[in-house]
Amino acid sequence: MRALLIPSVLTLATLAAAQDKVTVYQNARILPGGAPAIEQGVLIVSGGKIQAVGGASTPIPDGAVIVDCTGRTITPGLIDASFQTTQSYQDLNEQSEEVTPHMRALDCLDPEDPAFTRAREAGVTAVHVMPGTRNVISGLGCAVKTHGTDPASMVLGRDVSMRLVMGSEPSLGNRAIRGGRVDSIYYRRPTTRMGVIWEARKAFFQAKDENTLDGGDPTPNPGREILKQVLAGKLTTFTTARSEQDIRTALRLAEEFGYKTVIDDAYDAHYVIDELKDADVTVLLGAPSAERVSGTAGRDGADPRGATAPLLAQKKVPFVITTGTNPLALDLVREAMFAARNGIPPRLALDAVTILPAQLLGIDARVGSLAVGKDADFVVWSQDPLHPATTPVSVHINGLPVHTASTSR
Amino acid sequence: MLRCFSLIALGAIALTVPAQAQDLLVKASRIVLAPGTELAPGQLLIRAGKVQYVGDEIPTEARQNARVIDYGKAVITPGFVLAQATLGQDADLAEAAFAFTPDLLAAEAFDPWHEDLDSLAPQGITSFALSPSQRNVAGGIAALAKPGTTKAGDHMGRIAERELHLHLSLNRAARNQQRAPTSLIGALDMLRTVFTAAKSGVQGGPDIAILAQVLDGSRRVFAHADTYTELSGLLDLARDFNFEPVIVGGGDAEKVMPRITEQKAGIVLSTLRPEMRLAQLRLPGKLAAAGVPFAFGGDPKQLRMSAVLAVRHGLDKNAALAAMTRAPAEMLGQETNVGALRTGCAADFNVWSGHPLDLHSSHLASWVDGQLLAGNEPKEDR
Amino acid sequence: MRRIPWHLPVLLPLLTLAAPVRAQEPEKSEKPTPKAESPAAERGPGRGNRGNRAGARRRGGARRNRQPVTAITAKFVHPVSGPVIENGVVLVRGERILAVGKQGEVRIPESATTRDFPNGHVYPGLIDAETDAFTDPATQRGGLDAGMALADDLQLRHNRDDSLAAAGITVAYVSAPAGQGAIVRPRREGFEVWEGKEKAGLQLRMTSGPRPTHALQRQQQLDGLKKTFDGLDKYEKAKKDYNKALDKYEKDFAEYLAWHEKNKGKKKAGDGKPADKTESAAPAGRPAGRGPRGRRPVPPGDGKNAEPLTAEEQQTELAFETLLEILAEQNAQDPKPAPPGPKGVAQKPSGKADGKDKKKDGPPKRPSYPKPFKEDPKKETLLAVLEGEMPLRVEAHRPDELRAALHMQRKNDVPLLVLEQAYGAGTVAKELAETGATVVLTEVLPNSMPELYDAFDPCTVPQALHAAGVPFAIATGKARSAPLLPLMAATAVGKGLDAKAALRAITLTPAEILGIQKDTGSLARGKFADLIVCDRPLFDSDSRVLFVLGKGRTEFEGN
Repeated sequence: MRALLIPSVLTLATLAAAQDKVTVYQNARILPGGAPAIEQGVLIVSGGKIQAVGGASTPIPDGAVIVDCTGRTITPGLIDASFQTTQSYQDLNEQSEEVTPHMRALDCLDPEDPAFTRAREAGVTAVHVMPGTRNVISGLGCAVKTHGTDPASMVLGRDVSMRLVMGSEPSLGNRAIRGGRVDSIYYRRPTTRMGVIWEARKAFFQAKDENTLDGGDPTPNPGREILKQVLAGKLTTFTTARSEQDIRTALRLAEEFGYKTVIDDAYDAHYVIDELKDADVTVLLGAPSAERVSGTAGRDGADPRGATAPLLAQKKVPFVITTGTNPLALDLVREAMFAARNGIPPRLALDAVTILPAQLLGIDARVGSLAVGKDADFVVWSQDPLHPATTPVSVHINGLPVHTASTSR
Repeated sequence: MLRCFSLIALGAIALTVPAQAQDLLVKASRIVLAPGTELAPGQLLIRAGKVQYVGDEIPTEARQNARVIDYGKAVITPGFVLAQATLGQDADLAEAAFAFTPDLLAAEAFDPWHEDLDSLAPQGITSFALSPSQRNVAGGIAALAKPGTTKAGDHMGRIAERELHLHLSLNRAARNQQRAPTSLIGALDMLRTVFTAAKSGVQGGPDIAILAQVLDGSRRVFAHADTYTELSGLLDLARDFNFEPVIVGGGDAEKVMPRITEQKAGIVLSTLRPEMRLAQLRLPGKLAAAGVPFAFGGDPKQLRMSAVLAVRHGLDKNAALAAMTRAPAEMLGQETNVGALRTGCAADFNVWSGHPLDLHSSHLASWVDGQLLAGNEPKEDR
Repeated sequence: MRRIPWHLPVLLPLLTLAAPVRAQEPEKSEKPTPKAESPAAERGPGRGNRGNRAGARRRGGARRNRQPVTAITAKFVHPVSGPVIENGVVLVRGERILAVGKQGEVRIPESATTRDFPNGHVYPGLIDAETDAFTDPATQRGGLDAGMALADDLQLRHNRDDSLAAAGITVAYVSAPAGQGAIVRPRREGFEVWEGKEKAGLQLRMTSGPRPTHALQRQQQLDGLKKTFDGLDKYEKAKKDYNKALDKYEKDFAEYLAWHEKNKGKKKAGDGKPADKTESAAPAGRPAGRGPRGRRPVPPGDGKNAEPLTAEEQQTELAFETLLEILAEQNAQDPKPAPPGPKGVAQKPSGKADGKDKKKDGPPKRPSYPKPFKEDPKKETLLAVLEGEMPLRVEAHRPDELRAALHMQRKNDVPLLVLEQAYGAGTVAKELAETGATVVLTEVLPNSMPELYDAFDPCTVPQALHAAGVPFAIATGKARSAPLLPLMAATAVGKGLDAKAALRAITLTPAEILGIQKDTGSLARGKFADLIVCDRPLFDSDSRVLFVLGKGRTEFEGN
């Protein structure tokens, strides 16, 4: 395991060297993601891909640019499986309908969004952006890198998820009709949690009915097509459910209609740990550093606790660490640090922000770990990434530095 | 019988034309026919509101009945064309119930006596595209309108062309109207859905028919878009459905410049103001350098000032003049009609004491369809 | 402010930081002569900028020959103060203009560096008679009082893209709705305040702005503002009385001391300590120590420039001694012979003691310190305005507001009145000419007025003022509009103003309004070398600034 280098790749690397500049990062402690650490490791990058990862004995091609990383730690670029852009509220919440499964967050992505810049500066190289939380079914999420000239150049996965939102948020803007003039679209259902679930259930019922009918409705309904894919198990649902009650409902709905789900922002996961274990769902732990009092962590009466992460680890419930919808979330690496501090093994904490989210989003063929042939998205940290004083020395996407500590100062 | 009719018709023309409008022979030391094409000195023969002849010498038989108007040392330029305006009629031009009304005609809302029309000629604007409001995702069809006068001398505008382009909007204003859509992804989805329907040849109502015209290239599209996401959404749509949009606003256009040139989009800029960021003030110069067709738009009262500011920040004077005359006329598909002083074009022109884009030259007169709308005729003794 | 020794608070830091202060001084002074400045700095601590400048002037003659000469040649030179010179040349030595004339007629020294602009136009540096540059939005919202000086809060702000210097503006007056404006020199990076013009005008806003208001309502507001100068007589009288009382006190105290001096021998020898104190307190005691000269009210107008340096130094030294005395006494902790403090309470016990003394020996009664007079910076500024030290700059838009300002001027005999913005000045031009007010016009651009001000066209006002003979300047008012200053003048030309008058309105006239016409505003021998070179006539929209000299320093260079 110490040397991941495959001999055949060496020839590839040397071939590529002719075409592209080869950069070698050596003497670093490499945490490849999903694999044990490599002390005195060597990372060879060219053509935007990883050509080799290994120990000190890894052969170094001639003419390569050598970057000495003594004392530094290299990890894969971090992946935030629930990330909010600054556009979120105004541009990503289509509130005229409750159920808009075909709305794509990708349509509204600004590569110059300051949220991406901040993410890069914190060592996050890929994110999962979903539409907003003001709909019951708000649409399709996409996995993108945090750097690119236009959305197309950033995409890792076009439609990787469909967001379903539980709790009070989808009905937040709606008003009950109590006589008088109804002069706004916001006078409508749902205004309660029951109504929210009713909307979701209605949508799934319609999609399900159609599934069984021959031909179905003649008018094309793009939203229903998406729901059919969900029901067919081709698309994962990300259910945003914060409180215990909402998590239970989310699990019940998934079981009722038999679709795959992931629980996003599961602040109350520790209350329903056994149900989660039984349902075999992945939990997205949004901002584990946040306590009840801060940000939206306490929304819907949720009660986030630091002990949730170790509990999930202990019960072997798969989980991923994200920043989620909490505006007070720290940098992703700090959230992982908090989780580690609360008692999960450091390697698991790091995996929960690299390879695990990549697998969850189905983009692990390209990113998520330092392995030969994957995109050269990695971060050189000043020290162990889970150290409280760590800072990214340089962040690379496709081999190119997108943030270096010196330029940020 | 036919001959008889035609004789009567001819007689009618012969009777009415001189009574209605005498031929005019306008002279000046410089006549800018179109930016870059000048006569110095030059003459224009105007018949029935249109340019009949241009040149340094008009044939005698053509000009014998003409009244001579000699502007002496002044400079004559084509009248300014405003590529997008709602002229204080915004409320009439936005259907509030639905965001998607591509088959509505702005011409229907035109008020020929609207007081804002009076303010156009003093600014040198002789024609404008009356556009549906930016508050609707697909507001409708724009019209070419002009200020003018009645025989009695009252101001009264007219519609010169009822149907121009389809006017879309992805602006925030289109998304906060208490109805669908409330978001950019919703607005884009709305357009995409209908374009897809039109492309698949679904028999739809008049709205689908309009979009089908866009798809077959017979109708142009103007669309309000300012931010990066709006622009990139619009350009995606234009690429997928193969049309060349004219962007109205385009605040962040610099960020998508390569795509704008690649997709042959044009831009109608909004008003430039001195307090704007330098990057915004320099945008016209950069658009000109990149070869992107652009026109000045926005507030009619600030049209000339916008161009002056652009010139101040690096745009060539002639390019700036083109962006107020030829470029908007071409975007509107009306280049044979307005924006230049060619034979057959409407006799819309401005008279200046110097270059129109120098603030030290004054605006002496505006003529629309061969009628003096603002300023003065030269004194007789010239 | 003139009465209270400013040295006291300043002195201690000055003394403790003597070395750093010295090091800073050459920076404040003119750049090309750091060596020449250093002896001046060594002369002694406590020397203000004023001293430096005077010193620099004195040595000017000796320095002159060593300074390099730059010759700027161009197709046209527009000196403003004279006719246009074709193929002209401007000779610059150091920070001043040496000569202006035709190429060939002006001898260019061989050692001179020549900058040739074969198609260029040379103009004097533009003067923006009203700008908000270097201030922050809070300042521009007003709420200052007349005693506050903008110069204390100016700083470079990078949220404005446009640099004034790059736009060819070499001098600008920084204005605010209230407080005292300052004249600054915008520089390539930042700015410097024009020495002696830190307080260059008192701002007063006599308008309700472009808001719908009723004429009577405005009248009420204006009537309130007209009272700005009321009550000054009382203040001035109180001040005079105080000064008189102070003089008397000094005299009495000297007598009192003299008596004690005489009777010292009669006292016990062991009592020498307090006696010593009293003695030294006499010349250096807080009020007395300043000496009659320093305390004398400084005649208005020459307070800054004309007062001899030596007096300054004396003051400083005396103040220093005073400070030492006070410190020594505090250490001694002997309340009885305490020098007369400014507080009445402190005097009471000593007064009683005096009474006892008198009964015994019949010495002169120890005089009591006059009741301290409360100085008001606001009123001091208003007095300075009335004495003509600085102009009153009134922002007024509508004709009724302008008339109210004129009324206030007449009522209070304000010597210098500048009307800012004055969009409606066209209709009151004659009255302005009669009262001798000057005008700083802003927003001279086509269609710049808000809807409510439709009746006013600032573009035609210059023409009206010119016809009536009212001196006026055209100004930007906003730092963002700095590159448009020439275009504003051009707009006035488009509305009928003579082009020469328009050029004057952004160069020489503002210099006159700001009171710096001796030093800048036109290209003339002896003035500061403030000039700009453009590639085309200044008023053309596509004219670009190629080169800017401010006080002989290159502030901008285009490509």
